[in-house]
Amino acid sequence: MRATVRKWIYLDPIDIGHFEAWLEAMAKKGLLFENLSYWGAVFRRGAPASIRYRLEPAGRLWTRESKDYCRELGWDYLGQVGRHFELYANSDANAPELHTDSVVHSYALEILGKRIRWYAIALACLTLVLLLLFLLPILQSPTPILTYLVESASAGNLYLLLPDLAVLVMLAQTYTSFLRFQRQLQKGEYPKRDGSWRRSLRWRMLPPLAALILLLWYLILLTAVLCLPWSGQLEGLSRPIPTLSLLELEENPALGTPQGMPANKNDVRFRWTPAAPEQYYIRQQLSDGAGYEPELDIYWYRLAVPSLAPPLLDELIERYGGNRALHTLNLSGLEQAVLADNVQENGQRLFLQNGNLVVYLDYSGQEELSSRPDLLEKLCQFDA
Amino acid sequence: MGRKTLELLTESMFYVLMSLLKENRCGTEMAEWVQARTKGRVRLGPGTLYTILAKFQEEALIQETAVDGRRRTYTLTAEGRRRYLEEVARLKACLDDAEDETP
Repeated sequence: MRATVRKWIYLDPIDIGHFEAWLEAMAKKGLLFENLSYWGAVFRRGAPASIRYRLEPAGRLWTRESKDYCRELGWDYLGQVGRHFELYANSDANAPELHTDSVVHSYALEILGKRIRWYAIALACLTLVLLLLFLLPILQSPTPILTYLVESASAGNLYLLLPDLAVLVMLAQTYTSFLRFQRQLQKGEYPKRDGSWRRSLRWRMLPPLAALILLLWYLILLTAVLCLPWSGQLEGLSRPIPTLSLLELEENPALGTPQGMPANKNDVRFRWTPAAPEQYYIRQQLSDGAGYEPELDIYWYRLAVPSLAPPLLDELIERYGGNRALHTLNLSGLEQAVLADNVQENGQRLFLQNGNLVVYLDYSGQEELSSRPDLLEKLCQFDA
Repeated sequence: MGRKTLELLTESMFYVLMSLLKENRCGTEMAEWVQARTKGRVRLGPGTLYTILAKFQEEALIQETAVDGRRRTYTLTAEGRRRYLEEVARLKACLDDAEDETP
């Protein structure tokens, strides 16, 4: 068995009362505090003992006289703990406390208390800056929020905000504990060093654990966002895709792929985002060689959360159908179907929603999109 | 923001001032004197003692008169004496009130 044990420190020494109580509980188990490092607290194995541990703001008992007096009363200096404290221990149950006057103890914490208040203000500012950094580009973007979350690969970066917020919550918890401890002393109350450190420890473990899980989740999302998207030409495509064939809609044998057209005009792009893990953008264009060139763009989204579908449909209608005449259609197998007509431009825009599926069709041609409900149903029933 | 001044003397603070009334003393001598004077009722832990000394120096209630090796000797200032007497008067008034009310 090794002579020393290393333990990860979830409790910050700034949370004075709980940190001291934790060390005392460890001593009762036979783990005697040795030192603190970046890799946790080191404990020496020994006989279970009742030892009092006390944190004193660094530099308070710096004179040789005060150090001698500490030793005289059985208080051993164990070294610096973190940036702010020195640790003292005493195994003599009859020795007086390091602090025998709670109000005076609160004076000893005054300078540190001011520093903590500044940290708390800086933390609040940092949180605001962080929120602004993440949210301002979204709020300033001409793309509506939900559409941005659904379509943008960078929307996944919002997950990074969550681990950051979890860490900020942890720091806020620590500062609150310190200020509560100081307030109790000011009121003349001696904070109890009881088993409440266990509850505090459990709460302190949550934010780093949540941050770790969220960070891992973010890495998985990042991998998916980077690795899953693909694109290709419609001609000769071997993958199944949801589509409504422009050729079938037009039913005109004279139509075909126009000559000299850039290859990317009849293509499909697949995208993956956390909010919509299945997204297709399909473009089709045909020509009869006599000047008629119908086009059909399809935006097909399968959302992760069904409740996002109706608001996304509303955003798409607002964005793409705002200045057109809107007609609600009754199409079998669909919860919502809205047609935006524009007679002058000779085109139609159709917005469909069923469950977690949202489809937007932008058609430019002489046919009626709603005249082929069979094709629309097939488009919406696609399952990869 | 200005420095927070002492609003009230606690028992430990009061006895530290009292320990310097007749004699200049170093920290440990003050602690011993207070313990003896109060028959062990008031003990000054090292954290408390040296925080009081630092606070009193800040407030100019005491001042350091000599450093002899490890010993730093302190004396009461005029302001410290005034503050002590003020506290004595306050405590006396409290006691008088208590005596008047006691049947």
